[in-house]
Amino acid sequence: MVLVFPAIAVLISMGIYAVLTQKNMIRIIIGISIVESAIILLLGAIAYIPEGVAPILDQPYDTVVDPLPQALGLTAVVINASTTAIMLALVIKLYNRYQTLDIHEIRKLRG
Amino acid sequence: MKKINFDKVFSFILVSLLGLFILRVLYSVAGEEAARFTADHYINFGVEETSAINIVTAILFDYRAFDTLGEATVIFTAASVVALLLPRHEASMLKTEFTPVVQQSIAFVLPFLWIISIFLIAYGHLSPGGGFSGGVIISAISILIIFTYGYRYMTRRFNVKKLSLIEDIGALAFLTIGLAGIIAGGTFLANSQVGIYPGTPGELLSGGLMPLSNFAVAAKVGTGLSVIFLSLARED
Amino acid sequence: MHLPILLIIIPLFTVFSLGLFAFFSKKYIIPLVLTSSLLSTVIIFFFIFNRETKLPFSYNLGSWQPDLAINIIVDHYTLVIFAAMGLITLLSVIYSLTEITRNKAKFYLLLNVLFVGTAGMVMTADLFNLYVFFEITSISSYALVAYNDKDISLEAAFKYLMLGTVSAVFLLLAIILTYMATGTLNMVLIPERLGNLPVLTRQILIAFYLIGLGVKFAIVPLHTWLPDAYVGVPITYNVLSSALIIKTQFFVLMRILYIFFGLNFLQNNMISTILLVWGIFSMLFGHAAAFQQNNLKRLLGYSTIAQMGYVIIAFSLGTPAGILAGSFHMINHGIMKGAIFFAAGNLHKAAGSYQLDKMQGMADIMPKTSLIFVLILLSMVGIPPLSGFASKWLILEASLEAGYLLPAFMIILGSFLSLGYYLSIIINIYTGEKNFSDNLPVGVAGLKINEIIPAAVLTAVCIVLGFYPAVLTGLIARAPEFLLQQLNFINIIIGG
Repeated sequence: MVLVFPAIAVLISMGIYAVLTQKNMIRIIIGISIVESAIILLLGAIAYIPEGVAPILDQPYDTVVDPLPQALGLTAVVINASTTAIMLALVIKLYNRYQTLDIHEIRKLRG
Repeated sequence: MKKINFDKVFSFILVSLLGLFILRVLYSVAGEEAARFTADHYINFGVEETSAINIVTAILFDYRAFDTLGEATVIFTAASVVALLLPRHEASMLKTEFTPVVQQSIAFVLPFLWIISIFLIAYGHLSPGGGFSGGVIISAISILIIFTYGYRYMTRRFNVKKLSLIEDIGALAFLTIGLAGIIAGGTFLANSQVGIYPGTPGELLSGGLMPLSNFAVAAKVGTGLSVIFLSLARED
Repeated sequence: MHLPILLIIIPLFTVFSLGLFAFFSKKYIIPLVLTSSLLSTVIIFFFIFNRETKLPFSYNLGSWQPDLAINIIVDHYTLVIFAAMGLITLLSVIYSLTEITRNKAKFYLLLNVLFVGTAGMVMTADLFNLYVFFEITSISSYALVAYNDKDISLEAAFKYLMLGTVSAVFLLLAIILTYMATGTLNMVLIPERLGNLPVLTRQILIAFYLIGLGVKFAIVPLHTWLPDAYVGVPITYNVLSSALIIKTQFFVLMRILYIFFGLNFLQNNMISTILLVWGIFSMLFGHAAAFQQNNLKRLLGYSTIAQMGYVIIAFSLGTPAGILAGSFHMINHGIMKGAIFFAAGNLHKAAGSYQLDKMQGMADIMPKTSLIFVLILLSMVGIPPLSGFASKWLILEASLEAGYLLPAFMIILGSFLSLGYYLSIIINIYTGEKNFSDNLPVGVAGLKINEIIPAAVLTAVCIVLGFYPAVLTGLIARAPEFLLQQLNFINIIIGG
């Protein structure tokens, strides 16, 4: 479990760096998506117990992995997908208005 | 040039500090023995309390059904918002009709996709799956139809209005299932604790109202995601 | 008794049936929305007037045992948000009847989703449930910001969406870390388990919760979405955002900070001091930025940021008087800002623009609305006997009683600063050359009845509170008990 933590920290940092510095709106959305994926990875990582089976309890078992983060992860995935859909819809509308995907250009064009 | 460099360096320092803090906290809270508290209850008592074998589905539709209701609301709102933001005249996707070979193969495969999704939904409390996975596959079916047969073919049969109607009905069904818990004497969204036909674990008809909730949520998720894709991919 | 959950079921039922109604019979949309809003207000007032007998109230969903189920708790601290919610949601629905002309069904759908989200956030006692309702509120907010379909609305919505999603990720990260540390998501079981963690870990957790919720109540420097978002939106959303949504996010943050970590931890580790300084900084920044604005809505947006600074200062004092003063100001500011935005919307009908230099001399054309406008502005500065004076006095008193002299001085300084820009608006409206277009509906006769009522009602409440603040302080008098002593909150569910 503890080996995954540096990966999660690196992913979150990379994603937020992309959000802070990129100008292309699609890249910003990709950055947010990376951060959200890192959180889901964290949810998967904390559920794991070594030698644990999946929480489908129809056969005798020794240890079972934690089922609660899996349920939380499902909800989190759905919420992230919905938010990404709304972001993409807004990008399409903004592109139709301003013909550019550069967020600084849009700020300048608006005046 | 100088200004851009300063921004990037500043962001890099900020972000690495953030990464270090996250790492520090993660190592500090990991591995607590007392942290298995609720998980142990779910594992030890889940099957006998809810008569569902798939503990994750039991959590989603019985222990924490309120979260599922909130999540269904999120999908509903997102579908409505995307349909509101991108009305008919904002075209965005090019025509992608495929050759008849592809169309015939997909026509052969589609019924099996339906069977898979309904299997996942109906057996949600017995094997991995549940309402959400089944619903996602249903929306994949609609996306597949749009890609192979063209946008116009899909909207002649199911346009955004009709799909939104089905989504509404699915959502109202889930709300009514929750009210059934109140009628049976418990609180909202009560399922097994008020004794609504638990059945024996391992049978198809077990778990109280869980199969019904699975179908309602699958209808809503499937049509909701289809509405989102239809709105994002309109063409003239 | 199933009343609290009805506050969530009724708007949710409205949301899901609006789609059906829009498909079958369009003319039942408005009665449906008004009925559901009225029912919610009745339930809220039932809780307010029966607060001694029925509260604290807990309701566990799914009929599970209390330490396992998702619980809904209504206690005296929740009444703070209920007091704002009951009146302002109904009035904003009334105002929106004539303001929204296209896509009515979708607008009321988003409005009701917003109600569901805020009601769920303030009542829930489960961490992940809090995150789900936080996202429900956020998504409907983003959509309402983009509702008007103008260029500035879309750009503001995208920026708000970016900042809001990153903040939601921080909140989710904090919740997952709390789960890893304690093994439960139930808000009453977490405090004792969090006590075993090292201090630095708890401080970083507090930082993540603060970033996660701080974007939404516009703490500086995470406030950049707010001025743009306030410009291109319908007035209904302006009122709801400053009166309800911003307050709800701060309400939840205070609940988390005080119940999970406890007053002693906050004061021993300088968190209270940091919050206090941050509140002062936020307030001064808001006032300074409001000075330079030419657009009325942006000015009121920065003014909201400044007033939230006052609330942050009051809550971080950590004394019962401080929390009482902060809660009073939360409700009071909601009422005042609501009244100002409603009146500004009415003035816009005659002036055609929200730019201040185009609203000169409005008082000749709309004398009564200008009078309401001026009264509320004076109240926000803090001139007695209006309600703004009462709330500022309570905060000053609490600050001096706790021994903090510098914040008290800063509050007085801030009030003088705000006097500067509010006075310039008043002078603008009453004097100055008229240079707005002449062919717009003029005078109070040009306004419809549903546009006059909300501003007038809120102004009347403001004046009444100015003379009898005890009406409101009596209502929220027991709120600090449920925040400062963790055991009061915990014992609602477990223990005798």
